[in-house]
Amino acid sequence: MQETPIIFVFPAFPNELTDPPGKNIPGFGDHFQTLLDMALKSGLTGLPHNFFTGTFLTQDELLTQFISYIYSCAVSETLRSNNFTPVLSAGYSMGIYAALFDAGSITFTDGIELIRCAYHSLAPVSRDPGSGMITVIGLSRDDLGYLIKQKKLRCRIINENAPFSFSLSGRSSDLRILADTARNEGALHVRFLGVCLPYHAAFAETGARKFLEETAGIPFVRPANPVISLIDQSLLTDPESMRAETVRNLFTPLNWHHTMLKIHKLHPGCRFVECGLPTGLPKNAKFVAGDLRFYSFQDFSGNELMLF
Amino acid sequence: MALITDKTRVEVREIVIDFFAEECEVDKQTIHDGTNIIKDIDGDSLMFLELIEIFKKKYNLDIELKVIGKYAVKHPVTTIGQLIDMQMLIIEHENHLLELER
Repeated sequence: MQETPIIFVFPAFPNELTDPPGKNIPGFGDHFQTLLDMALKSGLTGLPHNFFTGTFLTQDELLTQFISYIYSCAVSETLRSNNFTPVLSAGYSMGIYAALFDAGSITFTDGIELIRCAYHSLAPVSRDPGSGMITVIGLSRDDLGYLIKQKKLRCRIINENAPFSFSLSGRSSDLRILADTARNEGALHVRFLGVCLPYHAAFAETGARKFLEETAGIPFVRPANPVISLIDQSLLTDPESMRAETVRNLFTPLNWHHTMLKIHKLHPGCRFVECGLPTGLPKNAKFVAGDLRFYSFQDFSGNELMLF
Repeated sequence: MALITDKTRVEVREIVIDFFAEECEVDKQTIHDGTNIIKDIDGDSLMFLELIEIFKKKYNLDIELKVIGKYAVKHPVTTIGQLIDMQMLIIEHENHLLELER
């Protein structure tokens, strides 16, 4: 049972995954299977049959998003059915759909449809000449901005994960130039993310408009708890702001570091739980001053779920 | 420019090993100079960043991350021993680290 405010954080999707955690957590397998069956009934195909055995790795970006969403929603259902109730939910990047489901603003199958529409709306942006994302650790925002401007690169900072830790989206060829330049300028680490779309960058605005048109029929309802915007850190509490957030989330930069700071200010001493496949979010939390505790789903244990 | 003493060396070694033992959840007795930070104990660059911040505060260092990054391009760090050696140089030379190259 929870004693202090708890925040559910829904991660994006991993590049690769070995032995997904959670299969031994009581009730999780049943929730996962129920949602998987619903997804299959909604027409989803290509899901792996051996999800909880061995190594799972997919090169299919959309399929990975679906699986991550199903997994995150199953985590949400497992925790809520064990009386863990968040004071707010946060969706990191494409984890926004699971956050909206968790808060009760959309149905599970509508979440699947939103993911499908988002991917297909942005895909044409990426085809020519090719897009992607990288993370750079060790340079400042100003340093990166200067390099982008100096080299006239079509890429943008789209998230501050922690001080000196940034994600960038844009044209793949320009990201490669930026990666090489950043290394030479003293970046401690540069990594290409396994994605082919320029998520959260202004280049995706046209696709986001198409997404708005195609999802106009999907109903959003008032959530059970607020969802925090990673764009401006506002608390979303009504259906229209939720819908608008799904649109601007596609083409507007995020700031995860500021979001953690805001949550910590609103709920001092709160506990964060990464409700999804592990993507390393707890690591970034170490760069937020104060008593910030960040847990993974596998930190829960026992027949009556407890948090260590 | 700080003067490195034997006490500093002992202190730096202790901080580095304690840090990785806690972060990587391994017994500190198993960490030695030859331990590969990524392959053996699953360390990563965010941990390196955090460790630098710890040293910056402890020794009140004037050092930019990109200076360390530029140095690391020519002197890659893969083991605990190399990291300790680099940390000693950072404490000793701070933002003048790259002048060692000249």
